[in-house]
Amino acid sequence: MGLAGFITALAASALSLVISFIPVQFTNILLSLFLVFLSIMCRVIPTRTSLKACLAACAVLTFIFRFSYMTLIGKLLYAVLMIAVVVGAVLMHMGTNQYIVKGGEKE
Amino acid sequence: MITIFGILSIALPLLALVLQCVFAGFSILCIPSIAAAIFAAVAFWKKGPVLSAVTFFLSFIQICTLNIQLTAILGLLSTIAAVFLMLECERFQEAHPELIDPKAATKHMIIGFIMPCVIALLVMYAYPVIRTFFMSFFNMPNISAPISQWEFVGLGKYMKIFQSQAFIRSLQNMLMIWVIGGIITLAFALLFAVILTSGIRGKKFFRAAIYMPNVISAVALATMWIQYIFNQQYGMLNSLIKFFNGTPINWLATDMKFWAMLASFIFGAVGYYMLIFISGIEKIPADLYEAATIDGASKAQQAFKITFPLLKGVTKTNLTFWTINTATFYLWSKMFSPVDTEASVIVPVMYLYDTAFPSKGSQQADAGAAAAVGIVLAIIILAVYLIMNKLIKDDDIEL
Amino acid sequence: MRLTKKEKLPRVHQKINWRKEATMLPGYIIIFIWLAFTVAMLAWILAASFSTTPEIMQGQVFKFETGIHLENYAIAWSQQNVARYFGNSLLYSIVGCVVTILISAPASYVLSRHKFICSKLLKNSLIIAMSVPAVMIVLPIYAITASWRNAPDRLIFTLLMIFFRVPYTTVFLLNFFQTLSKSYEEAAAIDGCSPAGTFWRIMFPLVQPALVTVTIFNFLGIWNEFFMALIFANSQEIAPVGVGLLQIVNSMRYTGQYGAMFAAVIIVFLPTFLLYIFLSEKIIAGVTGGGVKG
Repeated sequence: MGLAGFITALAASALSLVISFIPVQFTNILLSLFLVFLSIMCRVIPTRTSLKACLAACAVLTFIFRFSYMTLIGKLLYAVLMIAVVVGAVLMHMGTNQYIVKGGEKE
Repeated sequence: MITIFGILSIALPLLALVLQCVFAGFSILCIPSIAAAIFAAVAFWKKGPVLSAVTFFLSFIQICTLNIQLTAILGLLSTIAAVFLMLECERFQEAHPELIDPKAATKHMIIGFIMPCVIALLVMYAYPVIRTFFMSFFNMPNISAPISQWEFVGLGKYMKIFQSQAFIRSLQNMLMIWVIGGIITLAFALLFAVILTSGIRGKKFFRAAIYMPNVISAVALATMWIQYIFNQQYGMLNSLIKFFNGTPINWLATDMKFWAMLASFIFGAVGYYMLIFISGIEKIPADLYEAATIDGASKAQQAFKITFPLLKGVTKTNLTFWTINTATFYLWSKMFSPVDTEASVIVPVMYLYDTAFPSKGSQQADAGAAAAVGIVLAIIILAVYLIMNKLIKDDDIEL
Repeated sequence: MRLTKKEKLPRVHQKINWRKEATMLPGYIIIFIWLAFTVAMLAWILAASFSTTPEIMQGQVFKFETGIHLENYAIAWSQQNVARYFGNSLLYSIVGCVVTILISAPASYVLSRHKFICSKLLKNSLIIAMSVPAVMIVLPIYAITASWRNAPDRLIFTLLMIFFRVPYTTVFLLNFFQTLSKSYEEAAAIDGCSPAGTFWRIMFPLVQPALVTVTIFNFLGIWNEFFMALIFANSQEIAPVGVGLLQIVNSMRYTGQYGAMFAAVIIVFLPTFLLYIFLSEKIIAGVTGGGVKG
């Protein structure tokens, strides 16, 4: 579950990075880069809940702040991508929880 | 490690701020950077993960607000620094559990929980009310003019509005709505409340039905009245008149318009005051009525001898709400004179709107005068409230 | 006759006492006239929304001689932009309700449980803020927002709506948090739950009924907002339904599509009306119970 969440979040952030180049929107590129960065961080340090919370919140903030600067198709696409990032963050969180619970059972 | 990231997340927003100010000048866009730097400093000092999370969000907002490429990149870097600061703070707290003060957690919660509410109060209420008060003593080129362009005129704006025919007319209209509308509305509300609490069947349904106009969009309700009830050709009132072989009346003609507006407004308003009256009546002890019934008092006698005298407190509440409602009366006037303001239905808020945001090019926007209107309205509400408190003592049943 | 009636209704506690009902007759008549008027108005508007303009003009909306014209709704929805206004209002209301609760509920909880510097002052200023009329605050807020031209307009209006609802929501919830027992927090603290965690996991779900009530009021308030919307969201793009309907009515004199206009009225009227049909008890209890006591 954690891996699936990671792939979802990373793929969605990477895609948002790609569409930020057509047309080139500098702020969107930066924001997407940051989302990619955070997704990777979440994978590297899986025990930190705060990182995943930040990832989800940043996805929502990104969408809100950039909403008026995009075309209709861009908005729809962005909405889907950002929801995917949030879902990815939640999945990663659930994956870690599961892992911890399982570990506890083994002990 | 924590020192490096702490210093970075303080320094980067500051650097971005300086560059932004140098290249684009200081504006509201710089505020997130300032806030981010301040929060970073506090987070670094206290080693608090929550504080560093706030820093992180402020830094993130910077990326969107700083509109030069260089500063935006700095914003991104400072956000990344803030992420690490947050992680380091968490690690620090876990490594030193003895440093965590149990009271500190509560304190942090209080600050964190109360802050958004305080910000809302300051931004939305405290600052605007104070600024409106000052605006009413100044002359300014437009609403959003900086304070440096304000020119003190003393009570000049108040003199101006009280010399304006339209404003005097609007006050007269407001007074008529307050007195005539108030008597009719409260009378109807009380009548319905008494009927509904006298043991009628289907009380809940009737109560809900009468309150209904308060819930639906008042614009839709006003449109229904204007386009159907008062319509000259096919409207309900004129159909009734025709049915009884009368001559149709143009309800929306200049001399009838005010009364048409008042009638439709009252229709919408009655339900709310009725509910408050009902809640007042229901709090009157039932044994009073039982005793009266045993003594042979009729329903009408009971209403006049028991219910009305005991409703003073509720009436005061209702009158207060009615006053606020009348002073801020706007929607119905706008619906009855949608394009150009007409003298017959003008009210102070409408005058304020026209003064602050004139639709016609010929008129000059006068924000000072508009603010003065707002202040006058606030004073009226306050005065009525105080007088009501003096006159009607709240000595009956505690509500 | 009377006997059979009595036998028929044993499960109803009070038997119909015709004598008693007769004394109430004037009351019934008054209520019925008022109600009949309301129903007639709504029924006519509904019928008109299915009729053509000539039918409306001749006052023959209930005959449906040319059939039921559902295309009025299609015209209103797409041509007259109701879809956009509707979407805007939905966005403002839903986002507004959620964020208002997220701001107000924690603040209200802290205010009801903890004493700190200015807590009394804060409570009083919230109550005062509740009764500050919108006319007192719009001018400076307009000045602030004018300098934010590059922020999205919808965001600004949503923020204003949220801030506008915060005092009312906080004061409304105060009473409910006060009624909760302190033993919950003590138990949670023993179990090692942090204070903030205690709020979100235990106290927040406990006041759910109050949250629902206040959210209904916030929804109605934002959905029906007009004065602020006219100033801060009056362009075609971002107008909510209230302002949108005004624009439709104003453009009526040029388009002359009465049927579509009444359809638009019905579309605007319906959401809150449906909400009211299902939740009228809760709404009425909320009006008389909390909030208004200020």
